[in-house]
Amino acid sequence: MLSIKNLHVKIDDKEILRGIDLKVKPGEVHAIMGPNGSGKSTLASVLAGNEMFEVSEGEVLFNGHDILDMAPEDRAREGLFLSFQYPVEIPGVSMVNFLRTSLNEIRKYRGQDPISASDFLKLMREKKKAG
Amino acid sequence: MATEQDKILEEVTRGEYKYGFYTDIEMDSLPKGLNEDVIREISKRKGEPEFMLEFRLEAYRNWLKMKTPNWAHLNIPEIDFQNIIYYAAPKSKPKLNSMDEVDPELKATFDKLGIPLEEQKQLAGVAVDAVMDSVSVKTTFRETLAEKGIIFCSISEAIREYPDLVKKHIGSVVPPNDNYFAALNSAVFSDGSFVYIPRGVRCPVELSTYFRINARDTGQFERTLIIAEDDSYVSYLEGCTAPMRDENQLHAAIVEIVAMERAEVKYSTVQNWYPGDKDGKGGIYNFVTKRGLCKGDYSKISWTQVETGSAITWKYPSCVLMGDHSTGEFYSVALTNNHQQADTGTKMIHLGKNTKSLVVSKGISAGKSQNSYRGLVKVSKRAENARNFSQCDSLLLGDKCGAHTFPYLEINNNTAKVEHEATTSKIGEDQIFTATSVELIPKMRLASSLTDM
Amino acid sequence: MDNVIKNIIGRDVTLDGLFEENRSLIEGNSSSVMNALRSDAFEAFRRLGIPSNKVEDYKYTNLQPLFSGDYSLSLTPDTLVENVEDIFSCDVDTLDSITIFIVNGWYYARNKPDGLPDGVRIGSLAQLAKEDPSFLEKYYGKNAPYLSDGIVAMNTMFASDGFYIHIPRGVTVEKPIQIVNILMSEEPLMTNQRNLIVLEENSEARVMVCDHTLTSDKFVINNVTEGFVDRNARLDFYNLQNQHNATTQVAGFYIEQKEDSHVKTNNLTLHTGVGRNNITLKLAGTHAEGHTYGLYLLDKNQHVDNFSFIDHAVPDCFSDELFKGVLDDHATGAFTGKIMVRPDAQKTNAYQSNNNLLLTKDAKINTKPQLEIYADDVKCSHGATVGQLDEEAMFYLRTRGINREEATILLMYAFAYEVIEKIQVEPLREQIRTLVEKRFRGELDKCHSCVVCGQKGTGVSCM
Repeated sequence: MLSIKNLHVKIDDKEILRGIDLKVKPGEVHAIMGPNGSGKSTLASVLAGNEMFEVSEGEVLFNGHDILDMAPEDRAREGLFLSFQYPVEIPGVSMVNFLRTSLNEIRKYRGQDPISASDFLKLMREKKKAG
Repeated sequence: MATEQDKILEEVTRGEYKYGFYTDIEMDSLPKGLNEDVIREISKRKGEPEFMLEFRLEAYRNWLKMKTPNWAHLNIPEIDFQNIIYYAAPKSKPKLNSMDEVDPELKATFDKLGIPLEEQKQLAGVAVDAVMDSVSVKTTFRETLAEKGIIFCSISEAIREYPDLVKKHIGSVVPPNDNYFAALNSAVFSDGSFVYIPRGVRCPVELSTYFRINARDTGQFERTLIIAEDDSYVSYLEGCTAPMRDENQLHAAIVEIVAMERAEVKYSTVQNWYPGDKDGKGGIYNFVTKRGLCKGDYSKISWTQVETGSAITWKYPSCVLMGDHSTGEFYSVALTNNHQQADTGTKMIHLGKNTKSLVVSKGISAGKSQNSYRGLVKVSKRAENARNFSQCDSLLLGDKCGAHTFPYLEINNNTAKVEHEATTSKIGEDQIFTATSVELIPKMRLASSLTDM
Repeated sequence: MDNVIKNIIGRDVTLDGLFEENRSLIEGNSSSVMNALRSDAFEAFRRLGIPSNKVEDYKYTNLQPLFSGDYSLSLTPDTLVENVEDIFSCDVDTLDSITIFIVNGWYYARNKPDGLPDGVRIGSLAQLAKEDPSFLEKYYGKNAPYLSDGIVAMNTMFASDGFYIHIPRGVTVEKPIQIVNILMSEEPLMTNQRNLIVLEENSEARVMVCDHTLTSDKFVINNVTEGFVDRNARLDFYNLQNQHNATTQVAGFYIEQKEDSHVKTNNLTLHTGVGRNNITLKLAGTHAEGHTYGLYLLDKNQHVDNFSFIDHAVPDCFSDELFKGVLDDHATGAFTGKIMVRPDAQKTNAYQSNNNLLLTKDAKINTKPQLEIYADDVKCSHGATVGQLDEEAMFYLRTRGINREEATILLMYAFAYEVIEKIQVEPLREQIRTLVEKRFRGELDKCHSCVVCGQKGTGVSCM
């Protein structure tokens, strides 16, 4: 499902990741551990597509697609999800609006119709109950 | 803690001026007044090369066409420029070879100010250039510095001994027609310090100049030029005092700094000119143009000023960040009391890429004084990724004084990140100032230790 | 003097010459209260002229070239054949307002402000000057600095008409009062509109002024509004600017507040050519509260300069100020926030903030927050920032599947939101919210809609 081969990553000409290899099969849970500064967050950011980092070597396949040339939003639409250690707060953007925009972007990518505001609210309520 | 703070503030704001005495010393002066002949005479007495005279005359001709700036938040009484002596030198032997040759009266004056000129008495790690009225009296530690190729001498001497270096750099940061007072200084400047740090040299000691106005009716127009070549470092300290007189005296100085690649210059000032008496009588009019050019990539210029003196202060130590990745800093504590007026701040001109600047200014007004911060942060169109942060806080002690903030932010590049913050409050009111005071105290200590040295 | 315009109406004539030529016409159409100030204003104007960028308060907006060129002057009321309501109709059904129109600086003759509470007067300033001169005399020229600011002097020289609103003691006007400023002309036009808002003790009103250009000709507009808000009265004031690119508008708002009064102004610039707002709040009674807000969304070659002056003249007052700007393309912006705390204005609390987003290489902003403080027991602060969209927030949104364009709009909107949420008239807030979003999506054709008024069938394209 996810395959990382010999991944090298630089930031401002400083090499942070020097040849990472990792294979994750469907259903597997992997925990990556290491001391501070060993590159765990960098790896996650690079997979999600943070443009601050430069991939100098290697490849990353997700469900068989090479994702390194994809924009972060396309990786997300493919189903890659990065959970932020410190989520960004954007004042003025309501939770509901943000979630709906996000969902509709992904639906559009999958060729589905956008969900209306009222349907979305219904969906939210259902999910809340289910949770 | 709080009581100590109060004590220091009390001391600084209400204390009598300790340096107000006058030394009776035989002077060699030109008559009052200003014209081309006076300028020629100054240049002649200083034995200057032709280029310097031309520089002065051109500046003078420009000055004649200029007007006194009136944009500052200052009430500047009209200055009679013909009623000022433009050259006054303590009469002494032409060249000082040892301490014994310094006029004992002069030596006593600087001893009384706490500025020992004898090297054995010297505080460790500080080399001093003492300037009284128009001329440099004595520069200490010269030989030690010379071993490293560092030149630290009076600017008059530099003009004679190193004319090429001076010619190349003088007026390159503050052009002679930059502003009214800069033009005046360029025409008549008397003396000041010259510093040259060669490539790759870290100046091992703190360089210091002590300026003293002594003679009556005399203007002091010193000029300082600091050149730091690639990969060099120097820290420079300036102090000043003047006798108490009922008449106002004019001080119009220029400081120019050039920092080449990766060079770092720290410039600190303790300005303690006579501020006038409690009723606002007398005091120095202080009109100063200080500017540093971060010419090389990764260069850095840092200004620190403690301003407690002068009846009027008009002063904006600035940084022109020309080199990529260069840094400018400005730290200021300005204290005004009685009838003092201060309009001071900085200009950070971002020209190169990835340049950074930091401005921290603390103003304290007491009595009937007016204290203004005036600053410009300019990011030019080509200055990619410029960063600036400015913090200006003012504190008011009493309800008859004023504290003002006039920042200008001119941003012409969309990659810039610029932030300005300012607060004004009463002492003890806000947490902001507990933090501020903690920063203040060491600086004030520095101020008093310098003048009580 | 050469600091006044030439070439008005195709001839070489200065503004003062033009005034002298037309003085008898202007004075004949007007009445004694307004005419009484013309000589002093004229004298001041001859001394000051149109402000250039050499005048410190106009450092970032040189008005001189903008006030020169071929213009006719709007010196007489327009004789509109059409019914103005046929040209405009209110777009927002939910906004139940009292609406009046001003056409080219003149009070539209067929205005019928209905449903006003007892004693409330809304009408033409020129009429007021004729019918109730003693009322107007109490206020006219009392706040606007016609002796020290050339542009106000000019307005006071030429002023003929505009609107006035008078809310008597103790009256609350529930419905928002909406003033629609319409500019329509067959040739380039210069107008000098003068307005007056008086709120007596314990009264309350919400006033919205909507600036709109209807024809594609060039307009130069010089508006002055004086406001008097008495003890414990409350005024919410909104100015929505939605004009085409060939518009130059200087709008001065000079408001004085008495004890315990509450004033809120909000200047929203959605579209214009060159805009300059002069917003002055004089806090002249203790415990008065003044809020000034503004939002400017600029692109193309637009230039907007918001100049505010919050004058704390007495103790115990509060003021708060927030201006935000988004600058795209070649747009330039300027902001000056001057807070003055006069001697003895103790216990003043004054806060101010100006934030700007620059979206392109060619956009520029000059900001000048200022504190001038002569009393010690105060708390004042100001802050100014210039920056870009937060890259971290951008990345976050993108990892949630939102593309860069959409995320940019979301973030710009989030930036502007802080000012929008200050709007207390809810239908208006919703309308602005939508308009701002449309504006960011590039969907807002300035002719598409004024904020509250749609424009029907004039076929004028956005410039």
